Amino acid sequence: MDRLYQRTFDQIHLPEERAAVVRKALASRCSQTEQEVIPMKHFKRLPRPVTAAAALILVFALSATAFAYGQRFYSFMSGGSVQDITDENGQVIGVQGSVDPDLAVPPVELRDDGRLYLTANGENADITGLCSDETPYIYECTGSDGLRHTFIIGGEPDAVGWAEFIWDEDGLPTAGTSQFATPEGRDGAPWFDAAMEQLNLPW
Amino acid sequence: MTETEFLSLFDRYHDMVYRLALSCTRSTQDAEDIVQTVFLKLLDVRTPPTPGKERAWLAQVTVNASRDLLRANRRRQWEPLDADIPFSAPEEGALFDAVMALPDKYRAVVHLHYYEGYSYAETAQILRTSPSAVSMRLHRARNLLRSSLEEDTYGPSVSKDL
Repeated sequence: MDRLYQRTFDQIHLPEERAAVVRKALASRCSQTEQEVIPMKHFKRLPRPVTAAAALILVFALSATAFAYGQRFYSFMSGGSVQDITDENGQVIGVQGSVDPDLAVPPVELRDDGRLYLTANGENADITGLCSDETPYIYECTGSDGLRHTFIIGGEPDAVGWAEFIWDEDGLPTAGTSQFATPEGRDGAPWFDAAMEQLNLPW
Repeated sequence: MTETEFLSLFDRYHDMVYRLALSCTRSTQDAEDIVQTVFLKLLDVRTPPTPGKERAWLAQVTVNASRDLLRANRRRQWEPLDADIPFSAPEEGALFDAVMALPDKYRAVVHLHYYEGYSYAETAQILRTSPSAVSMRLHRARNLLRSSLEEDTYGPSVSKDL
C-alpha cells in the first residue's frame, strides 16, 4: 500500500506554468514595494477552520452602540476566557474575546482501547455510545468561579466535537466555546443543534 | 526569513502542499489556489515556523485552508473529481480513484500517513486530533478502500495489500 500510494501520488504535481506564476508573484511580494507587487488573486477571507475554537459573542445592537471592556472575565474550564463589554451607560451588553485552540483542554478523550471518556472537571467517565452525530452528551458542573458550566459532546469517536457554555448568576447563558471535528464545522454537527434546542441556548 | 530562503521553501514544498490540498479538496483548481494561500500565509506570518519544522507547519496550514474551502463550498462534496491525471499504471489510477472517493475526514489522514510518512502522533498533531482517532480513521479508511477496490477491474491486486 505504502509503495503504491507513493508511486501514485509521485505523479501528481502542481502544473509547471501555475507554479511559475505563483512563484513570480510571491517573489515580487517578497522584495518589491507595494506599487510594484504583481497583483495576486483575491481570496475571500474565510472563517477559522473547523477545529478552531471560537468564543461566541453575545452582543446586542453593538453596531449602533459604543462599547467598552468591562471588569469581568469568564474563564472556560476547557481553556481561554472572554471579557464582558459594556455600553456607554456601563450596562453589560455581552462578552467578547477569542480562544486559542492550541491551548484548549478538551473535556473528552478517545483512549487507545477506542472508548470515549469524559474528562472535564476531573471526571473519568466512559461515555462510549452515549453520544453520536445526532445525539449530544451533556454534562454540567459548577466551576471554581461558582458558575454553572455546561459541556456538550457529540459526534462519532473518531471525529468527536465539544462545546462549553458558562451561565451567569442570573441563570443566563453568557459565553460559549466550541470545537468541531468534521470539515463541515457546525453544519456537520447535528448533535450541537440538538443540544442548543435541549438547553434552550440562543446560539 | 530572506527571499532566497522563502523561495527555496516554495520550490521544495509546493508539490507537497498541492498533493495534500488535492487529497483534501478533490479539486485541482482549489488545490492550486490553496498552494498560493498557504505560501502567502508563510510570507505574512509574524512568527515563521522553526527551521526544520516548515514541512509540518505547511501541512497543518494546508489542511486548515482545505477545511475552510470545503466548509465554504459544501456542494463540491457531491461533485465529481475534476482531476484527470494520466497515471502510468492502471492500478495507480484505481487507487487514486478509490482514495478520492473516501469521505472527507479520511483522505487527509490517509495521505499524511501513507504518502508523507507521518506517524499517528504526528498526523494527529497536524489534524489537531488524537492518535487514537487517527488510528481509527486509518483502519476505517483501509476497510473502505479494500471494498471499493475489490469492485474495480484492477483493484483486487491492490486491495490484497491493504
